Amino acid sequence: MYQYSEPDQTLLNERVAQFRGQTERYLSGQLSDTQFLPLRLQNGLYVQRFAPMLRIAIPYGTLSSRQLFKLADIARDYDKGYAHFTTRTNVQLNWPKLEAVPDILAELASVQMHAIQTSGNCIRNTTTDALAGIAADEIEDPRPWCEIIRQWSTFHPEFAFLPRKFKIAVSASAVDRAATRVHDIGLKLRHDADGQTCFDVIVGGGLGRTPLLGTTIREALPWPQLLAYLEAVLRVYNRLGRRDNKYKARIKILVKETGAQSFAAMVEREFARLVDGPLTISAEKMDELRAAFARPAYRQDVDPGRLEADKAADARFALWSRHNLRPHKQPGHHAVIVSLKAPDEPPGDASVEQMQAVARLSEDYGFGEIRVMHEQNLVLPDIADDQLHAVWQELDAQGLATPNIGTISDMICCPGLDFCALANAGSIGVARDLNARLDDLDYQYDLGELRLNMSGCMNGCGHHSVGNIGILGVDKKGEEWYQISLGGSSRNDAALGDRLGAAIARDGIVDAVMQLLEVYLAQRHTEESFVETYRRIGLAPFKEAVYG
Amino acid sequence: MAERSIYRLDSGLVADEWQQLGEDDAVPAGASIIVPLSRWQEQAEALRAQAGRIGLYLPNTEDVESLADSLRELPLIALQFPAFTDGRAFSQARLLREAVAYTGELRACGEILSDQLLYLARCGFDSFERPADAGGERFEAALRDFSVAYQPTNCGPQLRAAG
Repeated sequence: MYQYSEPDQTLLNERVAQFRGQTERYLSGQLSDTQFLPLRLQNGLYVQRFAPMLRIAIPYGTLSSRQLFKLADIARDYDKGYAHFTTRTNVQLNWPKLEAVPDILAELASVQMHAIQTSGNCIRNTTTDALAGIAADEIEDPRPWCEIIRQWSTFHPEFAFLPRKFKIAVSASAVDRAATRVHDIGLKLRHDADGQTCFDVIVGGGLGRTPLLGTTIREALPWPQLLAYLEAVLRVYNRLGRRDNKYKARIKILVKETGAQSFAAMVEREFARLVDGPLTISAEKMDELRAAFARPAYRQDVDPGRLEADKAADARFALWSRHNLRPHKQPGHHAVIVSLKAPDEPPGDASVEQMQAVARLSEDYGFGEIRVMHEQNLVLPDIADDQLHAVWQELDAQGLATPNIGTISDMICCPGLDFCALANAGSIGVARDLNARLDDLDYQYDLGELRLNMSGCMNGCGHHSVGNIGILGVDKKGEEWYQISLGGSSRNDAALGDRLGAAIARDGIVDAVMQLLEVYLAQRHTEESFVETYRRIGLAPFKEAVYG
Repeated sequence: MAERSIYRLDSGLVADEWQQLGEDDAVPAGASIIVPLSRWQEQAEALRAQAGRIGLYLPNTEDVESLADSLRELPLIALQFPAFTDGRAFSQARLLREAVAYTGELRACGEILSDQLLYLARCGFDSFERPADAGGERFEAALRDFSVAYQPTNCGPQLRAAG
């Protein structure tokens, strides 16, 4: 993975010193709450329900073992012994002390990590496919492109005070695993007719209060001009995005109100001036970045019969293998998905011991690298088939081998009312109760691939709008109610869910989900997934089952 | 007139030699004045006859490129930060420097924080009204917060390239 150059590290150290000064000025009263707010936000620091929340960036979801060990140390020394992985592939600490944050940032900087631009109205962490560099359907590894976007967007002097936050995702494979149509900018890498790398640029997608799918405004953007084009989009947005109403300030509203075609024309006008300018990416730079993500030296002596033999000998391992492994470009290897979705734990949470175990496994059996998925699981990307059983045993001992990836219990879930100051309703509790009702794994497997996403408020951190089943917590006169939507997807068939009907009370939400599942099981055709059945039969039968 | 100080990248904290005039304020003969765009558009000839030098206040909603020809020769343009969170003038500044090829003084006015000074300088501003949170020494310190940057910029302190 990318290693910081000396100037990269200097920049980070200078940032830590700057934030230490800002925190001191705030604590001594020289900075008001209002003045400190955008500064702490651009360092990922929120004031939450019980304590500040610190969101640490994991650029494009790639971590080294050293970094994960450090995160475990920080969770132990400065927090309550666990951390929460988010849908933006970042990690959150829920209990740090404000005055300790400069020290935490210094610890992070020692392993090339930070909390820069993980919140605030600026360009956030770029996300991509967690299986980058591994997936067989990959056109090219997207991570060098993500890194170049990371560099360009870090402390960009013009775009630190945008109308609203700004999220970029990059997909470089046939199957879109990066949800590019629900980002402010989605980049789809492909090869043009001459075999040259180029990008289709999608703008104006997003979740939250007004979920919208993005529109492609530029096809086949030549790769050397990627940053010039991004700069053009951001400049148009910074100048013209609405600032009168924070709920209408995302670029999706500007694109919608302007019309995608007119918006594209404004971007082209700006781009015409920037093209071939100082932001042009050189071939040397890309070669350097590609080399930083070169494929590791995979073992060539993997025992070809061992995996099947291990599965035959151990039914639990076989079950896990069926659900938690993903194919690998490299023969004799798999990507292992480490489930952070044990039924009795908050989705996406990992303890100090679990983080240490995963970091150790990546060193003992992989190349010291870990990925974070936007579905809030971790990935050990490069495990040889004859070592999978050993890896599974250790994961199993740590409660990290729940064989449920892609099933309904692999749900995406925000921290909800238990932690978040924005939330209207709890999400972790609903997840736990739902898991208690779904305790029969065979029932879950029978349901097949089913994405259930849950957010505690309409800001939509749990991506409820693109869940096959989406659950949105709402506040009704101080009580927690839940709004269900059906049919959403963030994949190639991207779609926003349709609202099922009136919100449902806390004590009825689990029953309602179970009723939806029964409708599916009764009506599905062979091999049809939940979302496919929904698209065929529509909302009515589901509505009938839940509301009678 | 009360003397106001401003911070200039080339000379530090200095007395402001420019007078800010509203729509109807009388023009002191031979003075360096900053007037709102609207007044200048209506009274350019009269103002030129009375004042020494004329600078402009531009609202942050203004499209600087459509005004390029009239802006290019001005000695001073003052861009607005109605709130420090409103970053539109960062883009106006870069457009003035890079698209309009404006070479006069570019001043940041309104609510700015000392922690924004380096960003402002790198976008092309070279003078600043005093930020609400800064004494004189904070200016110098804030401009030295970073010695490296990822983005190439033609303006402000030239930082080492990271990446």
